[in-house]
Amino acid sequence: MLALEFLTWWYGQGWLRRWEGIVTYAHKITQAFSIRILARTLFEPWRRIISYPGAGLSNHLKAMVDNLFSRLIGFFVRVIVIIFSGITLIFITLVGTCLALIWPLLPFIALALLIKGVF
Amino acid sequence: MQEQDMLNLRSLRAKKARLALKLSGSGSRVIIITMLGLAVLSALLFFASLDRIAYLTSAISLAVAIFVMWYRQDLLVLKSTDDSLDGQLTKEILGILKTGHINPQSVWISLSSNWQSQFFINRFLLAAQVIEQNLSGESADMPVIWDKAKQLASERTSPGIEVGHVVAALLLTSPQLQTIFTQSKLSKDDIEVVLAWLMRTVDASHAPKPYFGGIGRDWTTGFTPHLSEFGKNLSNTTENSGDHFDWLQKTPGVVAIKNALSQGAAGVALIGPPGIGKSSYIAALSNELAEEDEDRNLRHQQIISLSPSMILSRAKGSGEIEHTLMTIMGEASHAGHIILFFDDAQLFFHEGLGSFDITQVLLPVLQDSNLQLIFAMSPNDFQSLKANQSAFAAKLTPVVLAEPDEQSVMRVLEDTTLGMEYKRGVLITYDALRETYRLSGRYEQEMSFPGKAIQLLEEALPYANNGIVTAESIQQAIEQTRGVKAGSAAPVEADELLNLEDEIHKRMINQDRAVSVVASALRRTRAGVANPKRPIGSFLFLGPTGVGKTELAKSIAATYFKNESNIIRLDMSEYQQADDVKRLLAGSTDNTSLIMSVRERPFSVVLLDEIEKAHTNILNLLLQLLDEGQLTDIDGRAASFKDCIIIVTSNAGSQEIREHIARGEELETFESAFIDQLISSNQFKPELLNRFDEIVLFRPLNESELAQVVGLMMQEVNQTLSNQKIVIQLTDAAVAKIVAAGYDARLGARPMRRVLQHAVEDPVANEILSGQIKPGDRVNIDGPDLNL
Repeated sequence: MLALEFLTWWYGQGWLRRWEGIVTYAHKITQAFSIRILARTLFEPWRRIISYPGAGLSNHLKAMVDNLFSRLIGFFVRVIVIIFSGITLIFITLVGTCLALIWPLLPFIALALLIKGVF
Repeated sequence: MQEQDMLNLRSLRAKKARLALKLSGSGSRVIIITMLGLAVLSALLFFASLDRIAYLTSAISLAVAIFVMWYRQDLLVLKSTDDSLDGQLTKEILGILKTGHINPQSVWISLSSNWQSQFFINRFLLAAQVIEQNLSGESADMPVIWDKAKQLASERTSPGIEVGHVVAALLLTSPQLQTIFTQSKLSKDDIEVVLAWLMRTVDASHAPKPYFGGIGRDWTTGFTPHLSEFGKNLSNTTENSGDHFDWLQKTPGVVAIKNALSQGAAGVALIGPPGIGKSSYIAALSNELAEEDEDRNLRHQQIISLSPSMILSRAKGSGEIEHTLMTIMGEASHAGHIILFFDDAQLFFHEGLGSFDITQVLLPVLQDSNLQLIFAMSPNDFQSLKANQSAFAAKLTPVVLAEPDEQSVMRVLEDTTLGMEYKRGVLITYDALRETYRLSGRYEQEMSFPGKAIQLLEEALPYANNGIVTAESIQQAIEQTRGVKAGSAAPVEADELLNLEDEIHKRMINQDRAVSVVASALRRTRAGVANPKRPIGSFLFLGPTGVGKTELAKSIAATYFKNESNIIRLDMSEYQQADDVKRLLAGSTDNTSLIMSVRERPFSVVLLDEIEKAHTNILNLLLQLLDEGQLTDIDGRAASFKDCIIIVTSNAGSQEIREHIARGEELETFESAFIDQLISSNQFKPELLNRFDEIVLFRPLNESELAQVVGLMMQEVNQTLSNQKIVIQLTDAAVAKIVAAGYDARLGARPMRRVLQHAVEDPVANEILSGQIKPGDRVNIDGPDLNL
């Protein structure tokens, strides 16, 4: 009876959990890399390092360039992190999907390996 | 068997639970190591071209891996399935119960080693064997217990029936255990409170880790080198500590602060007395803001707490303090997403030792900056700020924190206890927590709940006996740190109370009626019949001078509080002016005031002599004292009189009492009419007389009673001389002569002491000095010997 219980779980709740696991891991990666925060602040200056213009046009221009540079750094750092998190997300999703697809076959694979070993 | 029909231990779920239990601990580790070993071996065998063996080991390794996944994701989790009993019980119960004869005793024996059972054992300090011996061995008793456990689980919306629910059900349904609990002054409610505490601990251990924003959160904020030097990031602290503030986050205090900040308040004044937990509220708020992502205005805001003492101690002068603060404010404003929290904010609001007025620096920040500030302060400090810096105070949105109720304080104490136990390696019992709440509430007036309760609990840790903190440890702590005798909260034992009249009569002559009335009232209090929120007893003693009113007060102190000096005596003739109230209620400035005396000696008889001479304001205070069991000093701090016996004496109506007695009437016959007369003649207001537990009439002593008084006085003289082994004896004639000389209709027995000194003590003293009386002598004094 326990064997039947195992099979019921393996092809029922166990398999479902594999698919749910993909969503759970994707959510955790999204949180750990703060993708929503990074996307929302994509064009903000890096760590809010900004210059304030002094008197005169040249100072205004200098501050504008400095701030543009700060925003560029911020943009690149965030984009790199978003890209890296995206790659991680894709990798985890692929691995999770493969595992979920192969999941129902695993008992048969074990059986096949056993038969191949014996005979 | 009915219970076995209800609990199906042959169900698949029960079998899975037993399998999970067998594999738990080292069993599962062995399986995982075997699986990994076989996987490595398979790879090596393939590498060595031993394919057939490699296929075999791979097959076994994969099969074990499949089993491990089933074990970890299904057997270990074993969620509830249906409403049946075996579908609801957790695997810890199902796995350990054995099929066959199941009864309360066998269930307890099976579960007693589980940590949840130990939780009950430790909190109630009950031995497992005691519980076992007092549980039924009848299988027929099980359905009631299962029903109770189910009910307890569903009341707390638990996903299943935990070990704690079953143990609580065993304790709640056993009549024998209920008797033991009752003897320990514990009730069914206490068992349910401890169950709720246990289930909170279980829930906290299962709670998911809160999300604090990930790596990108800090990138939304600028660099803050100065701020980091003088401030502490509460958001990071709460994140790293892993403390849960779920309960506090939903309190009106935190919601009010959050609403104020969300609506753009430049500054929030967080107002509450010391100990109410202002810092904890802010820690809960920081948790809320870190987790919260709904409110756009507060999203990802971090709270940084500034330490006034650090800023003030590092600055060399006023200019430097202002400069440091301006730098910090500039940084915080520039960095964005920062809320500054000023703990002990009053140190920034006035000039003084260790404080500095920087309101002029902060005012522009409140007016123009986008920076939001929170100031924690006491109600008095906020009033002072409003009076002295009205423009600054007007910019603050006040959030007043209310002192939590008993249930909330107990909950805070319970949650704090687990951390203390872990850090200090002690065990704190449930009765210790109750005693902490009771005694801190009664004797700590400087702080508010829950801070004062936590402080007392911490102070009690060194008084743990064999690592166990009990109610006695709390009493010892409060005795040592506050100087009060908390241990004498149970001053006399029941059998002594039953014989209180005899005890008092060892020192008192006659006044049977007065002694009986007082003793009955004290017995009512001790038996728990009287109101615990009022003084132990309150009595108005009426009668002529020298009839034993003060002596009875002293006797009560000696018998009830075990010490005659536990008496606080005030002559109310010294409080005849309206301003005298201040003297009575002086706080720490006057150690002789009534308030301070009671704080020092809370277990005392408070004797207010000649009340009729006191000012009306004092009588009004007395109304409050008798009603509420407390008075508030001129600094606004309450002092408890709930452990005092209040005795008020008066000579009002003495002449009438004498006349009634002279006519041969007994006190009982004219008592009621006499009191009515006191009210109608405006000597006492009815509302005052009604507040006393008893109005006690004292009658004048007759000559035979006065002779007994002389006897008591002679006992005292002989007690004094006992170290010289000298005994003085008076003949009946001598006693009669002393009574005749010492009796005064107006002053009662009071002149007797002087007569005795003059007629007996003085001559005896002279003869001792001259050597006529030597140690070991027995001196008989007859009437003619007395020089009267």
